[in-house]
Amino acid sequence: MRVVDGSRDPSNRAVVRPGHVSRGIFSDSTVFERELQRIFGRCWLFLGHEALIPEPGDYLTTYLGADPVIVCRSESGKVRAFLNSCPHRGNRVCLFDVGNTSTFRCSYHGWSFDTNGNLVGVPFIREAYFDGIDREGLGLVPVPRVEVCAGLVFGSWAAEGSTLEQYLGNMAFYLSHFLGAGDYGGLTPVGGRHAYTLRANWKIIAENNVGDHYHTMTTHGSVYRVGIRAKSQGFEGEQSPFGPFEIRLDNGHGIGGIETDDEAYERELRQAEALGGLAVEWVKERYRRFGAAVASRASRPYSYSHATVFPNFSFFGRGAALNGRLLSVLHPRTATETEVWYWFLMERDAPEVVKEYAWTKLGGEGLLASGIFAQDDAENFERVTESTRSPVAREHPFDLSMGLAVEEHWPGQETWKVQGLPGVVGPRFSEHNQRGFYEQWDSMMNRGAGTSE
Amino acid sequence: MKRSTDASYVDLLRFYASEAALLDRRDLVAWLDVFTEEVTYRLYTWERRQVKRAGPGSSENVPVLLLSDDREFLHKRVRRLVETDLAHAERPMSLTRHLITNLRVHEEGDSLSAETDFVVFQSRLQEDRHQFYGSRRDLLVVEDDRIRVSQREVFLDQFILDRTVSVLF
Repeated sequence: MRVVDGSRDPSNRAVVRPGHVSRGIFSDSTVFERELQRIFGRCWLFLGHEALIPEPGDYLTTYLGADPVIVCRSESGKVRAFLNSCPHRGNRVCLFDVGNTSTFRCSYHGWSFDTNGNLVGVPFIREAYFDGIDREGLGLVPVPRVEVCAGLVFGSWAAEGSTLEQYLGNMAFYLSHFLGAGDYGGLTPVGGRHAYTLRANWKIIAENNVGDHYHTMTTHGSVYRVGIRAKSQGFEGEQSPFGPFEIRLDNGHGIGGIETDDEAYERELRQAEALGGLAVEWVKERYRRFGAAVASRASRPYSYSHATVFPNFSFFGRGAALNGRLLSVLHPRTATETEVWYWFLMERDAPEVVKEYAWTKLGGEGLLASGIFAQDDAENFERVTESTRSPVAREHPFDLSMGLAVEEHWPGQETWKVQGLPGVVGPRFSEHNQRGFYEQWDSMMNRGAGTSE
Repeated sequence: MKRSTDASYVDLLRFYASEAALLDRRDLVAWLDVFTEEVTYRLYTWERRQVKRAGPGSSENVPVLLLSDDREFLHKRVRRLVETDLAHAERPMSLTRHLITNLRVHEEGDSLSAETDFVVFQSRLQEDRHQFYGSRRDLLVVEDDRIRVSQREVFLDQFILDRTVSVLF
């Protein structure tokens, strides 16, 4: 793999001075090409949730960075991933979004591959390749490392480097705690995959997902104004702006919207009443199981609202009884175009009425394409990306200095109920998660040329 | 299937043309009145699914439900657009043009349904070329000589949507 040495090039730096991030990195195509190698060629990237491909032969297609891949559960039950490209002339060997098969057959010359990526069929092999064919070398290009954490399948194009566990660092705790859902029957998918294109740089979206609560009341103000969400749902005024909320994690990861007291449970109980007895029973039963699961912990994280695993895997949903888990990957198509994909999963043990309620909120008010949150977020992301194209604008870096001077010494932090919660726990309004994201980006883009991760 | 009368077909042509005009004129409160109180309004995209391993019919395009609004939520969508200046996806307002065509009417006993196809152009931000296309399947009722929609299913003929959806169909 050709290594582009741009480490001395200032245009490859995000943080130009503390609390300030360069605009150019959000629309420069040379930076994008370097990202494809330095970030997407090395990091652990999201491939899918195990529950989407439960049976042998099940597969889905997606991207790993910019490369199209097939993610399949082989006949032996192991999850594997391959470049979705015939080694012969490069045709896509799988054109479907989801399915089940025992072989992938190229439509051009008919080469076939099994679910382990082996070349198992070559038409007219005796006549065409009488002088031999390198069968072993002509299987589908495998994603060299595929690992699973809490049901989430990750892959890395780098054959060597940190394990997934090392890469996740303290994000692994939150993945297990909020997405593992082992106490609630595990997660089960509801509906199919959703996708829309935004004329936005992937980082603008990823940084919003990693720690931006500050935008909620402005961007999504209409949701509160017409009562689509009530103030009792935990925003504005009921919690101290200095309460614990956004947590910066290792390696550029971050999570936010953490609630560690019983207020979240009480709120859900009230909401469940409108849904009927089964929903109320579920909220109470789930709380009992939750209590048992966190019995040995000093603080009890009941829910979250948004998170990003560096670089481009985000998850949403409030991780609690009446909400599902929305998993999202931000596929980088160009410097100024991103395909945003979503899968929605629910706790398996939740009753139908709760699953339906959670889904309806997501489609209507939430982050699916016609959701109200999604529409207004998209406006910001596209306009911000546009603002990074022009020469004078590029001379003025973005300001990411919120809370920089008081980082880790936030007012009132000694009163927060966050003992034992991994990560740097900060307040509701802060940009420390975003700063962590860009510091990691800088580190990966500018580590010495020629070294692998 | 009974053949609809010409008058009924023309009534429906008229109905759909004036509904499109309400949307393009942004008369959204009047547009809401096109729907009955019990309406469900659903949007779908599509997924390409391999449904069996080999042979004819092994592949299918399967609808993926994107949203399911009741009348109350549709009302809130409209209120957000007409009563607040916080609906940033439509501030400033997009230009839209709804082209509705290919009307097919089905009458079966008491039930009246209609399918239409559409292209909707949307101009917004730096791009004046957003398009949505697809079909709509409506269940209709006639009350006091008024035609109203009691169920709408909108199928957006895209696997990957061009952008987020702030237009109404």
